[in-house]
Amino acid sequence: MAEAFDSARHITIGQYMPGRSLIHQWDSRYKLAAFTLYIGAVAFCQSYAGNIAGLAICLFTVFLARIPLGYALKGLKPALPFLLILALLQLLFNGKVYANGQVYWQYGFVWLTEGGVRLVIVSTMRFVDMMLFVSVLTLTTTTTQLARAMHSLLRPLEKMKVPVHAFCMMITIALRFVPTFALEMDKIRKAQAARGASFGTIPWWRIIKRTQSVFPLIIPLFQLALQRAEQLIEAMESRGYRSHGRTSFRSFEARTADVMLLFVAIGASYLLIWL
Amino acid sequence: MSLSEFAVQVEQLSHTYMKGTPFQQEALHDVYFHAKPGECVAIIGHTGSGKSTLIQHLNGLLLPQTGQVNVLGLELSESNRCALPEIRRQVVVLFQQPEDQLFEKYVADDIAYGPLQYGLPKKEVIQRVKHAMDFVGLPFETMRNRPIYALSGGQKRKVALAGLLALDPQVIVLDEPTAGLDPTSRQELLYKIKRLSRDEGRTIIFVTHSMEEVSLLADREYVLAGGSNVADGTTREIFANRELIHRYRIGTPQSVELVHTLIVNGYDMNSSTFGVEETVAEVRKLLRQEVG
Amino acid sequence: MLTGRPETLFPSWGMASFFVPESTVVDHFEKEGIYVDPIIRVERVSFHYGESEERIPVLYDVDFELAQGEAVAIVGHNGSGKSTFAKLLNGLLLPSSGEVWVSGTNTKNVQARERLRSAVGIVFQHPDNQLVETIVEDDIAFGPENIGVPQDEIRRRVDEALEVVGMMAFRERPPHRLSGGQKQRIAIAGVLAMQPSCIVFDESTSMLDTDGRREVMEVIQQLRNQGVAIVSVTHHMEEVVHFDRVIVFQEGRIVRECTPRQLFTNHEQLAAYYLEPPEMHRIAVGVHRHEELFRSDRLTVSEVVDEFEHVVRWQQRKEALSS
Repeated sequence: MAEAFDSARHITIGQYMPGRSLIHQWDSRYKLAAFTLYIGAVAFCQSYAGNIAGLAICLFTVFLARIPLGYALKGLKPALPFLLILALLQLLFNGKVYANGQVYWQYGFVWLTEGGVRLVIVSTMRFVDMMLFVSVLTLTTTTTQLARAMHSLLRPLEKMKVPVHAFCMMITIALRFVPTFALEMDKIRKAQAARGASFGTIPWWRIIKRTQSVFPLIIPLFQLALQRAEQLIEAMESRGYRSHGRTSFRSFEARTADVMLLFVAIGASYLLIWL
Repeated sequence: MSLSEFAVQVEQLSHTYMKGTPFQQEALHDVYFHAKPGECVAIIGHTGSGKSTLIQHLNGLLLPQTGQVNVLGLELSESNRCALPEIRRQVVVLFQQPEDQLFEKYVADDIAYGPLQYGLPKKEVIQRVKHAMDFVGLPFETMRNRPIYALSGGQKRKVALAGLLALDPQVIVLDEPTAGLDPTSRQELLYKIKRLSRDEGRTIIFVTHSMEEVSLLADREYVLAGGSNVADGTTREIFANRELIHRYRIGTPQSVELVHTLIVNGYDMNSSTFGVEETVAEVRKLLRQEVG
Repeated sequence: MLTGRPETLFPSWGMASFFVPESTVVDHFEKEGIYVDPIIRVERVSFHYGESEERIPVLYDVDFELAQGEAVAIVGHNGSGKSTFAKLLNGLLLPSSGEVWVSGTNTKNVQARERLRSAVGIVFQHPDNQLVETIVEDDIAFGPENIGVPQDEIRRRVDEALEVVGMMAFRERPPHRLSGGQKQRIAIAGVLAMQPSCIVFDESTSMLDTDGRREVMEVIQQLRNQGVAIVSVTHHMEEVVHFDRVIVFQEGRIVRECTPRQLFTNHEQLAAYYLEPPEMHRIAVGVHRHEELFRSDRLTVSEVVDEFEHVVRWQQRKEALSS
């Protein structure tokens, strides 16, 4: 078992870190709703002040969840080069949009404007905020809890004939099989390597060959997925699966603390948008 | 024994997964293993015994952290990385459920994949594919353009095996090759494996959790448990060791189970008996003895 | 009793696993002179995939009856139609011609679908591809949730099912961390939670190692002790010896119906079906060839051991008498 995940040790998004912090114990429905609000609010926030407040709230949440700051920030590392390039491009080439504001420097296509600089700083902060929020959410909530929370929150839509249960069942099954697929991919990679397949040794410019080299990995995975789907359908049908008229094994019970935290989140989000 | 006398030689091999993280797990500890050219050697172990890790060292999918792995006279290590592709042509591994790895549409194409990857000329590839298909029992002329999806599980497994044989390897490692097969396909496959060893002189390494089938094929066995060697010897030596069989829950043919039960019940039997004929002879002998 | 149906009469045929039923085809349908309805009845069923010219026929004119509490093994070469037959038993597939009745309900009856699925459950071959939830006990609850069982009752059923299959300690684990045998036991628990009167095992041990197979067989024995009827499609002859009845399929038809002992002692027929008896039987036959006293129809290790000791004692007594 350990072998398959050797390569995945440094990824923090999607990883669950068990704990008993306030955030961990927060009712998942409210938690999911709150975090969605936060992320939405951050997305709309244009000002420096707003984003700094957002960052502060974010870091406070990290603290509340008792996640070591270093660990949370480490998850940003893979995105860093991408961020830098994007920032640079925005700074140099998007500045023209703010040409009516203060211009620092101009040459040909390159406009360095005050508006441009603000955009870059705000975008970067926004990105960091959002990634940290998402990290905190996934670090403090198991995928099962998230799926159930989502189902619970979307339930009212069922009255409008929206197939909420089918959608959530899809997500649950997808989550359930992620580790299984990871193991299978590993197995197939080894099997193909054992008969001469070359993964990662083809130079980047041989595009056709590189594309072809993925087939021995992708096609078997697809076949396994299709086979799995067929067999799952039979098993689910045999256990009487239907989307309507189902009862629920587990139920949520909100406590006062959960609701209070939600109000705090709503307040904070409003603040962010206002700033 | 000098280095070149073994086809495969493993000495003091250890391997730890996720080394340096809080999840680290030692899978192999000071493991040894030898196979002479043309021998049929079995590795017996349950899940968690380290056998999968050991297999991956035999064709360089994993390189030794500590210890030595010598294959066909070559030592596998980081510095020898460039030799790996050639090693993988000479030492092939048939993993569990190999039918999962087939990806081409037609039978012959999938079998040809390996040889083509190694840049062999087309004419030679066709020859090898033909030879491999005829050997496993899928006649070249009729089966070459069969779509793979239309084959049964047993036939797909034959395709996977043929794909490896087409590389003309000297060493063939098989990980639970008969798992999931019906009795007829199982017998057929075991017979073919025997032929690979006796008639074609290839070195066969058969990895399994149960000695039921391997007893009639293997010259020697290595038993692994908890990442280390716990026993090795001929089939008879292992079967005779009742305590070992019991402690490590090694699967045995029913004949061995019978012999051991009778011994436990107090009867004087040759504990290394196995197989139908031998057991029948022993039981008859015992009947006459007991009656006096 | 797990099935929770007061009218279930279960014969105590499913005793300790080392006993092979001695009787001829057991008439489960008559108990003390009272005729009891079979729980499954397959009447002249034929089945084919596809339509008109592209028809692929799989089953021809199959008749079958299963009594309450009975344990039947289904054997036959690959492609003989066994798996298709298994799926007809709970209405997953509908017959192209003929009828399938489960406890008096026709499988074609769409309204009765839940009742059918509850009454007859199927455990399939691939351990992974039956578990849908991310936590074990949630998956077991899946069946009852589907048929609208109230919440506290689901809890009770889940706990009971976990007990029967011996997986209580694993209730909160994710399924991908289980071994093959453990996954199959959870799959069985998931079916048990629907409280079926019959469970069909479609090659459920094929993908398991010897440990896993043993785990599943032990659970099956437990189920038999509780009066659940069992239909097991298998190609492991050592498993077959413990069932009440064996049905042999060949090319889509039922060609033989008898007890395991009757099946394995008829060697020419066995070869015609491409089947081989368990190693123990071949040993018993071998010994019998030279020692007539030794019965050749022995099938398991314990039977051969018992027979051996029986013959030894008999001969010793004979010696003692004549001297």
